Amino acid sequence: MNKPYAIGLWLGVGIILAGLQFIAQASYSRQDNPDQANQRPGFVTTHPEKAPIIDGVSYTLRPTLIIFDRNPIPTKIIQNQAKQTLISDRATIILVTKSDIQQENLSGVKKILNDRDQAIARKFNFDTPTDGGYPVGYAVVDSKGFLRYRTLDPSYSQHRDGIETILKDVK
Amino acid sequence: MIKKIALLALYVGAEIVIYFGYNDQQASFHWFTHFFVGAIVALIGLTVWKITTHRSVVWPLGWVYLAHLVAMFPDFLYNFGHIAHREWMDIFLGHVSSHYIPGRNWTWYVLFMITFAIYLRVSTRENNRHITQEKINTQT
Repeated sequence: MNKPYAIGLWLGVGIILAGLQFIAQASYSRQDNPDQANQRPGFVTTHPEKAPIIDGVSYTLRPTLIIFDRNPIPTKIIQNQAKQTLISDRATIILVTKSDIQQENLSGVKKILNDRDQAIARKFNFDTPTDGGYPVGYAVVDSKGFLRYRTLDPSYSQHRDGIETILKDVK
Repeated sequence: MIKKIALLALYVGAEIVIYFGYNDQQASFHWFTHFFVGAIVALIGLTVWKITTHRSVVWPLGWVYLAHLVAMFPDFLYNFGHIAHREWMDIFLGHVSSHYIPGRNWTWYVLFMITFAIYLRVSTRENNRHITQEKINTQT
C-alpha cells in the first residue's frame, strides 16, 4: 500500500462514515430523545429508585408498564393483539395521556390517566424530546415499587418484543 | 485483485445486513457505537501485529467484522434470547457503557479515524520496508 492510496482510503472511509452518521441523525423523529444513548438502552437498572406515587395506582403484586403518549389511538396500542396479551399477562398496563380517550377502546390497558398539566410525566423525569413536547415512551416499575426502566420511544407499539424483554427481566 | 474486491463486497454487504437490522428497530445509533468500538479494537490489534511480526493479516476486514460482532453480541441476546442488558455485558467491548462516552458516536468516530490513520501509516511503512528488502535481495 503506497502513501497516496492510504490517504485516499482514509479520507474516503472518513467521509462515508461521517455522511452516514449525519443521515442517521436526520432520520430521528422530533419525538425522539436528542440523546440517542438514553433511548431504549435495553439496560434494566440494578440500583433503582422508588417509583413516583400516582394517585389511584398501586405498584404491588406484579410489574407495571406505564405508557406515556400524546394522542394514543386504539390501533396503535393494540396493533398486535397476540403480543399485547403477552405483555398484559406479565404486567399491569397503565396509559398516561394528554388527550381524551375511552377505556373501552383499549385492550389490555387497566387504567387511563389524564395528564393535561403534565404533572405525572414530570414526576417520572423523562428526558425532553427533541420537539420539547410531552414525552412518548414508557416506564417499567417492579412489583416492589422501584422504577427499573424509563425511555422515550415514539414507536413503542412496534417494539413489543423489546418491552416484553424488559418485563421478563423485572419481577 | 478480483478476490480483494469480492472480499470487500462481502464485508460491506455483511455490515449493511447488520445496519438494516438495527435500522428496522430505529436503533442505527447503536450500530455506529458498536461498529466504531469493534473497529478500533481490531485496528489496534492489527497494528500491533504488524509492528511486532512485520507480517500482514490475510483479511483484515474479517477481524474488523469479528470485533464488531463481539461488540454487539448482547444485542443478539436481547433480540433473539429476550435477555435484557446488564452491567457485566461490558465484557463485550464495553457494550453498555460505550454508549455514554462524552460526545457520543462522534467521539468514537474521531478515535476510529485516529486508529485507522495509525494502521495505514504502519501498513505503508511495512510495505516500503518489504520493497526495500526485496531490492536488497535482488541486488545481492
